Amino acid sequence: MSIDMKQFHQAFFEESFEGLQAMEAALLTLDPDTADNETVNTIFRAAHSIKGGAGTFGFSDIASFTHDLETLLDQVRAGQRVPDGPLTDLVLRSVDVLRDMLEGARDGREADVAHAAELRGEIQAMLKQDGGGAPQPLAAAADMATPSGWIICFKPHRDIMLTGNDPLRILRELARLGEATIEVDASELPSYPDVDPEQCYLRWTIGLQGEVSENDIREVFAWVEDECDLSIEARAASAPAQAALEPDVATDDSAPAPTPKTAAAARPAPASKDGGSIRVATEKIDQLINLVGELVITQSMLEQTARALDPVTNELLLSGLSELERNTRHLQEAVMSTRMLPVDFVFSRFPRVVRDTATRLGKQVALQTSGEGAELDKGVIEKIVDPLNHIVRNAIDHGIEMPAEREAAGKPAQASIQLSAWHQGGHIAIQVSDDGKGLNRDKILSKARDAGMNLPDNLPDSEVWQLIFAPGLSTAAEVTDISGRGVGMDVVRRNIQSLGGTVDIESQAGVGTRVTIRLPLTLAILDGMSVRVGEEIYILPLNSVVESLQPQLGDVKSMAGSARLMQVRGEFLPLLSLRELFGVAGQDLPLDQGIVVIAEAEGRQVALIVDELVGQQQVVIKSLERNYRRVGGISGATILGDGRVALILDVGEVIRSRPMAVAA
Amino acid sequence: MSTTTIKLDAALDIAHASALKGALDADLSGATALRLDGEQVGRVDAAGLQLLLAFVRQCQTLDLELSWHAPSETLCDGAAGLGLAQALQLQLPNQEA
Repeated sequence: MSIDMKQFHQAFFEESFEGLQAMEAALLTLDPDTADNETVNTIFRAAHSIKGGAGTFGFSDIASFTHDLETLLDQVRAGQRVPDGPLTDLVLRSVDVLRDMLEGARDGREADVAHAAELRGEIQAMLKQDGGGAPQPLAAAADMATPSGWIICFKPHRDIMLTGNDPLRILRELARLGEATIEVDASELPSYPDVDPEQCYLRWTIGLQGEVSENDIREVFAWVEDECDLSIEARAASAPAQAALEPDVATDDSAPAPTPKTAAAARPAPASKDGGSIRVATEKIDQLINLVGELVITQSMLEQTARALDPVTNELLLSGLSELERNTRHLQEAVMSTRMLPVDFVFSRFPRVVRDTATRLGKQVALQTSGEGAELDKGVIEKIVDPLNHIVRNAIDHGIEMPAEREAAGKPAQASIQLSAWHQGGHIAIQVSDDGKGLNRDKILSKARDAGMNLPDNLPDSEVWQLIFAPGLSTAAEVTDISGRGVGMDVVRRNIQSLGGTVDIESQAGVGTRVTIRLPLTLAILDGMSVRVGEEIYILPLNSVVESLQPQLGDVKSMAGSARLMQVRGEFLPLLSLRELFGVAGQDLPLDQGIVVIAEAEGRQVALIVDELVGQQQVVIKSLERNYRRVGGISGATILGDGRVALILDVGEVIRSRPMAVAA
Repeated sequence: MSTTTIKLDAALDIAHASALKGALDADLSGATALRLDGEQVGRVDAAGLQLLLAFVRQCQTLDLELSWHAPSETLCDGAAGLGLAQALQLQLPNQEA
């Protein structure tokens, strides 16, 4: 029976991309002077796994490319080569090429073969240079050049044998490297009737004598590195083998079998990163979320129906329903949490972006990140990468000055970019702040006017800064290959808004700029305020609601045409009737009897006339585009407890649909 | 003293470990001394030897006298390779009943 290898490809690609990411992160922390074995090993292992997988699945070009890279990394690991700037740079570029090749293989498109061949040539050229003749050992690797021996703690996971790996074979290979003293710990072996013959209960501590490199030892465990806890420690040169083993291996002579106390436990064995996780396709989770959404709707329908029931005669039913409500909410939270990823998923790529961009521009930039642990929906995370990338590159390109200019302004030559994230209500805020020169108000205003915008001189700063998001207004005069790659800030804002998020800018000349993105934690549910207009219910996203009030007739001013303004605490806001906007039947109540909701988006506010505030509720978002078609001013729909469909307002779009002149 | 002899199969590996366990289970009852015949053993792995270790320990718990008959080189090598020779009483000279 032949096995269809294609079914494993997806897992191979996912693991390889993760491996590349780990490689990249490790490379960026690699300092030639203080390079530690673990970092070098992380890089090597990732390359090694990709090579192995690519070979197995028949991606021979990826396998052969990785082979040369692996050889190079192996030399670093063995201390024959220093991971200096050119080497790190070469490996980073190789990571890019590998990513391209993997994407190509995954999507069935041609990778950039010429580029790969060119880089492979560079790697081979570097391999031919032997660093001026004598090997240059790594600072930390110096120890492992001539160790007198090793102590290896090998603790296989229980199911290691089920995957076709045999600890006996591994230990035999190890024994071939040098003189091995093998101590077994059988303390976890259950009594005979309870033994599952296919599980591994034994663990070993091996003392290995001889001229063996750590690399050789790791090679032996290469196939089982994910299926065991392994620690390899160099034995002190003067310590005789047995003396080094004794403190860890407490042998009890009277016991029938020598059962040394768990040597592995006494040593800091690398913790298993696999917290018992399984890979699940995102579609399956989405399906689950969808079903839970339906359940929430059904539950709220039941709740609504039950309101009409007599609480005394229906006590049992009602208490059951309230339990259903609680369980549904918990289920929904639990299911949602499966899609949550730490924001580090995005942040981890920025050291590379900052390094590359700054180097190319000849600027000095240090990146600090905080709040990497804050979690948000996988779908949101994936879509925020590009906008965030653009903002960061823009900050380096346009915000941060050249070192000399900074020094002249009394700032440190090295600029700083901070990426931070934190939870704020049901949202996450991601902030990019720099200590560069800040935005230039006059320049932005003059560009906007050149583009035909009619703007007053006293436009508040916050609105001026929003202008950089206007289409066609990105700093075209300063196009560079960094930020002028055809993506303007308008696309950035559109992407963020399509996620239900907002982006705000604060800037001070000479001090820096701060861009804050606020995003919903998930795209699947929304905290909304429901308002009634005629027979219709509309949902306003709660994060855009500022306040609601009953207007006084004197607060409303009519402008030319039908435009009206409402004065709220000294500020004039455009006044819109939702009824008129969406063509709902009937007439608005007289203004002093109706309700106005002040909503805000993109730093601008609008006053919306509604008939009644109905309440606040969490709603499950359904795509209107997928189920019907796109409707202006509406971001989606939801199903209410009584089964009716309510539309969710896109406040940003409603505001944008008003000409700026009115706001002024 | 009744000595029961258990003849080990040629393969003491994960593929035959369940079968071996069944065989050893059946033969434990009613004996006061046990002799393991390891002459035929031609293939071993960690799973087989681990099971054998559990069995040997069980015999010790039950005060059964255990001896080996002609353990094969493969068996002895395998046990040594896992550091189990002593625990399996395989590094001693062959004991004949």
